[in-house]
Amino acid sequence: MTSPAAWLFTPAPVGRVAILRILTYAFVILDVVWLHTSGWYHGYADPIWYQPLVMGQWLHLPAASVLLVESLKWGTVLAALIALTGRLPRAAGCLVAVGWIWYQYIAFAYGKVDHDRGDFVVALLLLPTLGQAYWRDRSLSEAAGFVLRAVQLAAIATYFLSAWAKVRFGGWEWVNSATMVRAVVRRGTPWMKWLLDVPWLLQATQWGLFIAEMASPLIFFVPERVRRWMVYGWFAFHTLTYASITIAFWPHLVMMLAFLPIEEYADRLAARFSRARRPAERAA
Amino acid sequence: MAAAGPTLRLRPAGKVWRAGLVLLLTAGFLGGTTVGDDHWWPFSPWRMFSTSTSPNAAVASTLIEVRRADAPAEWVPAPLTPGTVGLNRAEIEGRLDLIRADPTVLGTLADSHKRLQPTEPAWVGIRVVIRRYLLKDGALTGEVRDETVAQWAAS
Repeated sequence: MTSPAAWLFTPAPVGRVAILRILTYAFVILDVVWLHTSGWYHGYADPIWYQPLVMGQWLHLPAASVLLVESLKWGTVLAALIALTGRLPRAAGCLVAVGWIWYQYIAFAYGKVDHDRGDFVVALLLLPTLGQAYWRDRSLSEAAGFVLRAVQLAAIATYFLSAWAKVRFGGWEWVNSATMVRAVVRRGTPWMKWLLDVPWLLQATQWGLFIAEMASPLIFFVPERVRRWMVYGWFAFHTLTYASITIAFWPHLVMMLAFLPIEEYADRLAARFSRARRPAERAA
Repeated sequence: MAAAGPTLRLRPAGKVWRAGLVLLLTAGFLGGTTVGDDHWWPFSPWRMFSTSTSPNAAVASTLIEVRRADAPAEWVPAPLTPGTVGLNRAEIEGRLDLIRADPTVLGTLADSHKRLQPTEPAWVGIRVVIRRYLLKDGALTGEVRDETVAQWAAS
């Protein structure tokens, strides 16, 4: 039986966190420029619609302006590009964290908060704590293991605590309510509207989802092989959700990669790439 | 590939502040889930799709209709998206009390629309409509009811 402290610092390959960091900072650029742009548009909304969150009240954050959103957007992209090169991992990483969190804050301080981004905040805060890390470095490190463990905990908390929130806000009757009917009415894709004709299937899905979310912490207690299948299962769930109501928890999907041996996948990709290149070099 | 050397250990102090940080974050997320609300972001409860919808009530969806400068007599549906008014539907739905109390705030949407889509005809009137799709036993009955919540006209 390992102690909680030993478990929190279970050594992991440095390269795994280096790759998670690359994916995370690459995602930041995608997210800021293309995926989550509502904050940018708030620069154009009248300040009357601004509703400061607790964080903004404490830090005295102002309503959005075009200048502010443009500065945050491109400042975050620049910091993420520097972080991607592997230089100044702590300074650039901290700048990305501040820029991205502030940009999200602006997106959420106009009345609608998205609920898929808490674990990504944790990752941005903790990824810089590792310092220099090279993706081919297979040394085992407690600092690397800590980052992975914390991100894993936050990712699973997203499921478990959302089940808790369903009980708190929707009551136990949530599982039998018409929540998914509502979701499909409001934003169902044309090829999934048929679900409205089989309400019992949507209700069964609610039961399945609720049970899976409640049971999600079991992922920390199962053998490695089962753990990977559980992660694949969640990815399948998110794919189906996207196909049905075009909602995807993109940052959270990146965080779920913290469960997988991504440095091995990177090695395989690199090997395939160099095999593909070698014949070309011979020809040249 | 760099060979795996000896395991890199953290100093006790490095472990203490890291563990402390995790405890703080945990407290934030647990607090947010149990007593917090959206204003606690990033510690707000993970409440996506957490509300219950009665299988025998109605699903409401908010929309706007506008009068355009080139055809001011006619109400036409307009997209309620960040790209057109700087705000999205859920954000307007969250502020219906404000809009009911003071419909002139809708004028700011027309201003934002002018800045975001300067080549489109200006909006000289906006009204907010709640469209309710009635349900029975979790299925749509086909009946739809509209309620106009607030209306604004350029002066």
